Amino acid sequence: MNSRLTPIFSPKIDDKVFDYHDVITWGTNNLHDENVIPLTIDDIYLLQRDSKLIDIINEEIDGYVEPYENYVIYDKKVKLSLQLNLKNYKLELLDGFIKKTCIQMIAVLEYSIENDRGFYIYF
Amino acid sequence: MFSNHYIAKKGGCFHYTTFGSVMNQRTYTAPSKDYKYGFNGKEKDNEGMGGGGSTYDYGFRIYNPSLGRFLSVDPLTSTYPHYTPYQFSGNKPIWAVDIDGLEEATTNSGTGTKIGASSDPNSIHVSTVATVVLRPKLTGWQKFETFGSNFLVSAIISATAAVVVTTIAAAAAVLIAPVAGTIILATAAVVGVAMLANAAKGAVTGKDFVGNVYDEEDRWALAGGAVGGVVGGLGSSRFSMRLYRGTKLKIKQNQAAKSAKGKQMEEATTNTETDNGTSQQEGLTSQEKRLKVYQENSPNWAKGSLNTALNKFAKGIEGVKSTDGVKTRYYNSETKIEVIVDNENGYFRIFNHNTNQYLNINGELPSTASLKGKAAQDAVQQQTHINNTD
Repeated sequence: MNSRLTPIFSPKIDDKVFDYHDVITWGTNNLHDENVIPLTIDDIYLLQRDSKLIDIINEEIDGYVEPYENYVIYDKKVKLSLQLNLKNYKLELLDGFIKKTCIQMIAVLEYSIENDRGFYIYF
Repeated sequence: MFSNHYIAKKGGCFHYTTFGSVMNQRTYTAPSKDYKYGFNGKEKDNEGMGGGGSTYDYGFRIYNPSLGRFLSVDPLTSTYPHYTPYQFSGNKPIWAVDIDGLEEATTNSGTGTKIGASSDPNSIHVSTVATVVLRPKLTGWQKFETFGSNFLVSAIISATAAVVVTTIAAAAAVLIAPVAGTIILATAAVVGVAMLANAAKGAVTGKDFVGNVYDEEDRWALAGGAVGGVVGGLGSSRFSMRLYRGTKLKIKQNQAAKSAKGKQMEEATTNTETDNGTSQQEGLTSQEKRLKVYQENSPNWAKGSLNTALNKFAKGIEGVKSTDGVKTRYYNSETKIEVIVDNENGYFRIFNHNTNQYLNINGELPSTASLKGKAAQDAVQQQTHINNTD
């Protein structure tokens, strides 16, 4: 079976200028960028099963993020609220993959808020 | 030689006052003086009776135009106690005439009344006070300028009525019951169409289905009513349908929420642990929240056949179910196209691993129509989530 990488990212290109598909392409082509968190489908299932990260995101948005479902957060208030909840959740976590992912998400959200870019969850 | 024309022999020319006296200086009498008829075509008695001047024989009584009175009591005076017994034509000589000395005869036809026996060669036509309203013949824009207000007022009233009726019917459909509501909606639609057809026929032909006859002024109002009814009916039916769907969806969501709450309370009572894959956000499990999001968004999603999509993009490929059982994936390793089926809510998506993009039902990149931000995301989501029509 395929093992594609599904990124969470905030683009370094202006998503108010570039087409939606171009922004997605930027995210999938720059998996090693500091603004991109590359995840496999198995990683997402793990985060969904063993952590509250996906639940915390789903509490903030009006959609539903899970494997094979994507969403973009544009609203600054939603981003700030999500960032705060992730920071609180980080305090509960032990070092490991989940905490690392949580810290990366907080950092990408920081960039997204400062630069007024979307926060892309492209599963 | 034969004569080809006739020369009229003038018997005289008389102008009369209202009650029939001959007007001085406005009268010409032929030299022969053998023409014996006068006011109202009645025979004159030049010798006169009672009061001087000519009198007329009206049959039942003798009339003196100088007095404006008959000279004897009306034989029908008991029938007309409000009249003097000597009155002539009910004292309304402009509007009425007195045919035979008994009672007045009025006419509103506006075309005049022929007085005297039809065989009488000296019978005359008397003009009466007509009720005819003269209108110039109007064409094109002039017609709309004249009757446009009828059209507009009627259109507004009709449109408003259509909106009110349709909205009430739709609300009834939601609040009462689906079956009763549907009957109400259907009845309102049938009645509305019948009224529109009746008004349209009346406007076009001047006579509706039930036999009412309309003049031009009313026909414009009918036309306005028909147009307003169509506009109002179509507009509000679309609005009402959205209202109907929206309310129906809310009712479903409330039922789902109640069900979830009940389940949560049950779990709390039995003190059982929640599964790892279950989220308790807003009192909903993961499955219920997926259903809620699906119900909110799926009406706007694309539609298509899953079997057709599988034949086109993943023919003969066996599906692989995800660990939580929510999705089944059909991955074509040759084309690197994947069809992902949601087992809970029956929709599917198509993903191209070559471009890392979700595709529409035709296997193409969905159009964003130059939209940006959330609008673009919504447009793409609507095209790449496909409700299965199989």
